[in-house]
Amino acid sequence: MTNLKYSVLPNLDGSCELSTSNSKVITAVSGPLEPKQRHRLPLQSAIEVVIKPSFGMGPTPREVLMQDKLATVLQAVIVTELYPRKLVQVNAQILESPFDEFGSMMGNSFNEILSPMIDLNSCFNSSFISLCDSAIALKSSFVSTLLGVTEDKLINIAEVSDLDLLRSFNFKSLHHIVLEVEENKPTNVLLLDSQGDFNDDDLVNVLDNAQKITQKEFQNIRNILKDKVSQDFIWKA
Amino acid sequence: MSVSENTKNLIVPGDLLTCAKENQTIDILGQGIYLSFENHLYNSNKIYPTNVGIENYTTKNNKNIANIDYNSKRYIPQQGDYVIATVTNNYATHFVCTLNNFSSTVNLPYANFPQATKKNRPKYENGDLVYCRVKVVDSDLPAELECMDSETGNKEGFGLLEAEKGKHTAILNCSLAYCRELLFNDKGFPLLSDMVKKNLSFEVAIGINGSIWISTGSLLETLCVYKILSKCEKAERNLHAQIIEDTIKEYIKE
Amino acid sequence: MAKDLVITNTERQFILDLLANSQRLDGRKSLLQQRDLNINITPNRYGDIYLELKRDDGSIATRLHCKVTAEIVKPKDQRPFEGTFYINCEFNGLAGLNFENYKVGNNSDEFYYGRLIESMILRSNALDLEQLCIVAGLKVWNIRVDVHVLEFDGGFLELASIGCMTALLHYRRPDVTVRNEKVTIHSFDEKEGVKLGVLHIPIALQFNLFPLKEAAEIIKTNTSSENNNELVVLDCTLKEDLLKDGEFIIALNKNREIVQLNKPGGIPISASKIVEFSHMALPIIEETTNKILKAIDIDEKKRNKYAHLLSAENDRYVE
Repeated sequence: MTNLKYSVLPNLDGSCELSTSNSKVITAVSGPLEPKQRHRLPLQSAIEVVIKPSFGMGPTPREVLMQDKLATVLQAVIVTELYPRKLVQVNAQILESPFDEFGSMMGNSFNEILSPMIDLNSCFNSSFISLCDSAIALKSSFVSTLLGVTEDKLINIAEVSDLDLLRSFNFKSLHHIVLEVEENKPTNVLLLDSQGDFNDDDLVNVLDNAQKITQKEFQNIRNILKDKVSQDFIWKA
Repeated sequence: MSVSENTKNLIVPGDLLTCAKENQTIDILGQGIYLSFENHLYNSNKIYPTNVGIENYTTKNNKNIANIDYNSKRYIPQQGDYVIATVTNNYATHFVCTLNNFSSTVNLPYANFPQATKKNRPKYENGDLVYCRVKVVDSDLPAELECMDSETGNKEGFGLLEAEKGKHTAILNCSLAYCRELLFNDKGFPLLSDMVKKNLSFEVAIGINGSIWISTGSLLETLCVYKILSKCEKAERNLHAQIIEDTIKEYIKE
Repeated sequence: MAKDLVITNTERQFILDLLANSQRLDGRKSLLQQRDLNINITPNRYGDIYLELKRDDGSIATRLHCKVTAEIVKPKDQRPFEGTFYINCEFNGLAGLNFENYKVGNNSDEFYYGRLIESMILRSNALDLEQLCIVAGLKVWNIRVDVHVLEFDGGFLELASIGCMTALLHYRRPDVTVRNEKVTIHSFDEKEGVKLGVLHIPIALQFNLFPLKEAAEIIKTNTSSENNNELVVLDCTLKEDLLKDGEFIIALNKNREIVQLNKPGGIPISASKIVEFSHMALPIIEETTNKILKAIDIDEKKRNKYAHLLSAENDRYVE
């Protein structure tokens, strides 16, 4: 079950703490800010994404790859031409990841691929709420899902709460899908990142399921945003 | 209308606006609505909501206005807004000011003061607060502030916010919608009048950029007003009277 | 360099005036009152601690996340029998926009405080490093504490030292058996984890100093009056912290031993003040230590729900 808390950081413009059954991240968005020289773009706003790992110094190459993926999607969603020569800063800190503990990778090479995908999936959903909270102009909404395909099943990884079970799944392939949501319906694919062994039937099946999950998840997010708006104007009520 | 009833009209980026659904003509687009300029002739261009909030349609002077009500913390300069700016630097021709921490700076030229001459330049120090108005907003230049009514050349209450002798001042930062409501809607949202009715005497200046400047005769009164204003931002309307009473009792014991 | 927070002259004057009248901007009524400390231990994990400082109205002022992780490394050549310990303490953009995301130098405040806590724990032997040795000269445990600042309104040093000690006290590393130089690491299912050797609990406390008079005046009048040239404030908020004019850091443990003293510049204080500060700090440190031990105890009981059924010990009644 995804648990979302908005406006957790009063120092920053928008923030969100998201915990799924097996991971926890906190993200914050601020903008439009005065940029540093290297971020100054003449016609649109620059987007800086920084993701910090759950332990150790970061961002390491693992996080840099995640940052790039997040930044490219945000580039498509934020109305960047509204804030020329400004900076939109997105910060994320991973607090809990299912593969934190010593030896939890269990020598399974798929777990090494799965671990950043779980973190990134949480970062996506959390940063959407943060963006809404910071009142930065968005073109549309988006929801991210992470699906794993085993021999006979399709698994929504965000809902697996048993860590030992998660570590021992024998995934054939992993799919990270970010879908744009317009008028309450999933429309365009913003990001599709698939790893492993799969064919076109698998992919169609995954996309079908991702649409269903997105639709359900978006209702949840909508309710939270509704709550947020009434909290924002609480002094008026 | 109360907001909680209204949240069924919640608009999220990507939704279809009611006006677009019903093919209404909108003359003025307010905050939170964006017209894409992919097509330079502006026909068949899409308008879409960019923020999470509540749709709002009004008609003024036969013009239909649409906007989305939302609350935020960071101010983006708009022409004609009353703001409280902080001086951070000064140059030969202008002061550099900020309206929000870490936002882009804005300029306050010496020429935009009443009776400005080459010799007669205002002497403000860094960190001083100035009540002024946004004169020009240009997407390619820093926004320009003015400290007078440029039509009449009068001071009109703009200028340095400083503590008079024996007065204590404070500055409070709050959300933008709260400041707008306090400044423009005293009838519908009479928080300040309620405070005056409780025998608090104070002076305030409210900037649309989320700053409220408070000045009273004693330190504890200033703290009291500061506390009331910041507490009421996080409480429901019907609790405000209680908060005012409690805070006065806490800080100013008779 | 990230831009600094701009504090306006009005705000500066207001905060200093309030302090001179024993009032705080966040509603505290005394200069020595600290904000409420809350220790939350994440269930199902070892050494994963959230700390909160709460304001009077219940909102969270500062929040910290401390996490202990362990890995097996080769020891340093000079110390083949000792494990290694490292504190990674970073402020990033989440704590506030005045903190830079990619730091260049090592001379920032958080680096300084991080080293301070690290030396407080290491040099006082609070963490027994020899217990971390697996095979001398070849394999030792490397313990690292990550301190993440999730929300920042002052009080970092105290909170970070409490967080590090709580996390170290709570953490359990996997058990290891060595047979014929072959190292087997047991998962928590096979064998209970092993606690780290924490020998005592040093906790840091920061006294913040504000001048009552202008600095030049203090030096002039220093000879005549011995005391009260400064205001002493505990647990500063971020804005108070930016306005302060000196600090005095003391680290103590429950056994009334001073572990560390630090007075990096700022306004001068009389030497006798140091003793006074130490005495002031003692009850605070004692209270905090008890809070830490209690939080760990409660968590332990939750984990071992069935321990009393398995125990052969009889219930003892203490009068």
